[in-house]
Amino acid sequence: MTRGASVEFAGVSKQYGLVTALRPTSLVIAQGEFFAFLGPSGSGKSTLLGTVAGFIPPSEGRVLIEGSDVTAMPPHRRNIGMVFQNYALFPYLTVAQNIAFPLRMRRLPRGEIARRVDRALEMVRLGDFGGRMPAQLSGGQQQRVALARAAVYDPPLLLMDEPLGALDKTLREEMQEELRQFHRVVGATILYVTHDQQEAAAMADRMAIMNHGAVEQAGPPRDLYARPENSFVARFLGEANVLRVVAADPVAAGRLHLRTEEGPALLACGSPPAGIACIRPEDIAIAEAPIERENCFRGRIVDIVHVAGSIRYSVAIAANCTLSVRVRSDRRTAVLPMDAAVHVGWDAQDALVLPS
Amino acid sequence: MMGRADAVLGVAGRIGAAVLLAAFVLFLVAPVVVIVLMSFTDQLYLTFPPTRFALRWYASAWEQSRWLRAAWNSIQIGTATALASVALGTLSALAVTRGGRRWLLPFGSLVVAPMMLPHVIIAIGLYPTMLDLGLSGSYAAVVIGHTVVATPLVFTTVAAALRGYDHALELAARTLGANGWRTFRFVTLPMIAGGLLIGGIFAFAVSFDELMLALFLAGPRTETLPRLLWEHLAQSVTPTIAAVATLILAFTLLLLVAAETLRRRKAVEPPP
Amino acid sequence: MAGIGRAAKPWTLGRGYLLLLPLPCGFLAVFFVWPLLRVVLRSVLDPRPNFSNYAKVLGAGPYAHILLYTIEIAALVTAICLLLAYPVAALTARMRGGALQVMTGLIVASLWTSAVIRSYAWLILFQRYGVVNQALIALGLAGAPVRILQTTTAVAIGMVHVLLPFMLLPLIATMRRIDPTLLRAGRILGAAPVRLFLRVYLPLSLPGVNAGVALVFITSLGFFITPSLLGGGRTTMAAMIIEEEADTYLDWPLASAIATILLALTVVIYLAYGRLARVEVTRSLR
Ligand SMILES: Nc1ncnc2c1ncn2[C@@H]1O[C@H](COP(=O)(O)OP(=O)(O)OP(=O)(O)O)[C@@H](O)[C@H]1O
Ligand SMILES: [Mg+2]
Repeated sequence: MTRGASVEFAGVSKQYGLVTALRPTSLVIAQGEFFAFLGPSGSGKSTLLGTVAGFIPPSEGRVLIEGSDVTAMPPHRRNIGMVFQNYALFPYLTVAQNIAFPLRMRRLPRGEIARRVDRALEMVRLGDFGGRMPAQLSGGQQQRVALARAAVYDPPLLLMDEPLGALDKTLREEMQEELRQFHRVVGATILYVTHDQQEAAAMADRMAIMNHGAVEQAGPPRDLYARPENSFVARFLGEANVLRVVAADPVAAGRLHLRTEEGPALLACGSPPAGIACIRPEDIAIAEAPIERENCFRGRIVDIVHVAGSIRYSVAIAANCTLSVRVRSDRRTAVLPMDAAVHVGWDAQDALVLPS
Repeated sequence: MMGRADAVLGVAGRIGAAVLLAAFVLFLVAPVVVIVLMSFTDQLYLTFPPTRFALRWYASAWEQSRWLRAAWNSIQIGTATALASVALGTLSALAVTRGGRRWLLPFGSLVVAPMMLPHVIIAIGLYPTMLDLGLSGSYAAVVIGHTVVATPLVFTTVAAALRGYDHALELAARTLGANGWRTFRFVTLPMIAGGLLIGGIFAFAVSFDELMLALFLAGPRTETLPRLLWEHLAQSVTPTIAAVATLILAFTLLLLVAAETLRRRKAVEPPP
Repeated sequence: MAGIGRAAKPWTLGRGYLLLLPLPCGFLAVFFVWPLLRVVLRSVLDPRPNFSNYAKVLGAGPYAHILLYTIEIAALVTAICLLLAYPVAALTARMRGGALQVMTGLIVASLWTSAVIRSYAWLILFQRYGVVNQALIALGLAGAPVRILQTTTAVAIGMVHVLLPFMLLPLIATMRRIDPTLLRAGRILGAAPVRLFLRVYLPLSLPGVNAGVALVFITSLGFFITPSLLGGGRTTMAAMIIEEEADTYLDWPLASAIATILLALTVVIYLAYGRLARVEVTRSLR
């Protein structure tokens, strides 16, 4: 097992003429961490990864691996492994030759190469496929070859740019499990780019949410979900009911009374400045009778959607304010009827108060 | 095979289309057919159709050592031109497609420009340059002149090959530990080998057929086949020329078939 | 590793590729750019720095006439090529399988056939007692053999023959990309064939027309072999007079002046249409 390498971004930014692909970014990733970069298309994820690999020279700032500055170092001396979205397998080489490529570049003895290639093939369960050409493999198999090729020389740092992007949903979930297993076995630091929040949350120790070329927030997936620092993060991870605050009056220590643009006034925990209030659909209780919570509103069910394991109600509580409410359900759960008059409620601590 | 055409054109249109195509094909191939037939005549004067078939003009071409020497010169010059153009065309294509600078695009236009210019302009510019360099009339002079006009074809072929595959292959090689040279040697080269070979054949064909630069740059020792052909044409029109022309046609066709076969093979890759 | 103070410049991928440039750059500079520059310079500096060479070219004498004639014949050849090639290309573009391969094979083979040899073939056909004259007499179109060689007709036919592939290939490439469902939809909507052609097919094929026209026109401006063989002695084009002035009369300054005018003409058309043409040519040659 390799010891993972730490990675540090120190004020890294990238300009293409007038286009800003990446705003100055500073971030430290610990040894052996599985770190995911999550964000919409064009948010700068690949750019950030490219600065680590060496394909993209930063306009400003430095990239450090294990504490040493690699910004001026060519990619082939950075000792990193990378898995590309379309795998980038060499089409004229067999699977075994593909995996042997980095070992040949390192001028290892022939016997050693053969031994390591066999072991890598075993690891990705492709023992019998060494003699095939990449074009003769399925997408998932090609993916595993790419992984084996990037890991066969035990690099302490692995970069993956949407490695599962080209696979279908079931295969993707299978591969997620395999990648986690792989991370546990190999122990390398993994920087993982994806735009699928479930994938990131399922696999990463920590993740960074990116938007418009900047990291909005970084941390363990649960923390980001529970304590988003701004509305982008709140909305990007899971669902959120967002209410715009027009006035916030402190009523007690750490408690605010909020009046919102949409109408309802509510109690929330937090401190000014208050720009918006977010309530997660699963934090809202729903019943026909009034609910014993600090915030309780009367409303009418305007839409019902059944999702696996839960029901989502849309409840209109004011003229232009409809809340999304999610309730865990099984076969015995009674479903409230459409148009029913109901109460919805939540405690002050369930509402997040964010500056904007 | 022309199902859609049938629907659009109707019966009269179809007959018209067939006549047009037949006339076109006749126009395209008739002159070449005439040459080939002429070469097998047994007469001294050019008459058509020839009365009896014979190989005497081939024998006469074979006996004149000047033709043989010119052919050998053309092959040598063509080969050298192909090698030089492949080297220069590949270097420029790599720089233009992978260099990542904006000013490289105008440079690319400069590289292909000789293809579009009348050769006579290049020839009267190169002639004094070769004199200055003391290369006038040498093999090098002809090869250099031909390389100037053949490199654009290699450049476009190789640039197309370089744009024809995912650039990530090279990036992958870099992360896997290959430096610039080894990335070229083990990734770029295998990926563009077909394009290189086709470009080389094109370059050879350009040189093999080129007249104007050969007129200005070649000397008596280095005269090429087209130049000798030209000289003979200016004097008299004997069937020997038809025999030589037929041989040249056959050779060119062979080159073309080779290039085409390569292109096909490349298209069906990767193998089983 | 990196000291405090100024850090090393970031590594860039492109820099390694830029190191390849000096060799082709140097070659082009010495054997292409400098020779061209030399022609241009000579036209104004030799025998003394003024425009006397141009005055000679553009003033009285045969030169201006030859230049005009060159442009005329280039335009004529381009027009004939377009008229001939357009319907043939349209028919070829609809073909598939074997027929398409045969047609493109013929066209490409013709492209690679030596211009010297093809012009020589026409020379034989056009002779006083050649096949064409025999046919004309047999058909009763002429009483006695007519002179075909050394006429503009002979030159134009020979040039069209050599240049047709340059018109056909970009046309076919463009026409093959025209979506047939567009035409079918137009017919279903009741558009008359002529209207359909003018409104749909022609505009969509226009990029190919542009490329072909530019390519054929530029190439014919510099033609030498065909007009020399088929028009020799009577019809003279620019490239022929340049060659003659330089090679026979050794009047290099005058040759340079004519060459400079030809160069300027080519470059202007190349810049105006060249991008289009280049894209199409590379695509069709592949
Ligand atoms: N070579 C370039 N020239 C100009 N702009 C570029 C270039 N490369 C990237 N950009 C811009 O930089 C921004 C970030 O690009 P990047 O590839 O990092 O996004 P991403 O987050 O990886 O998106 P995706 O999920 O679509 O892969 C985008 O707006 C993109 O348009
Ligand atoms: Mg990306």
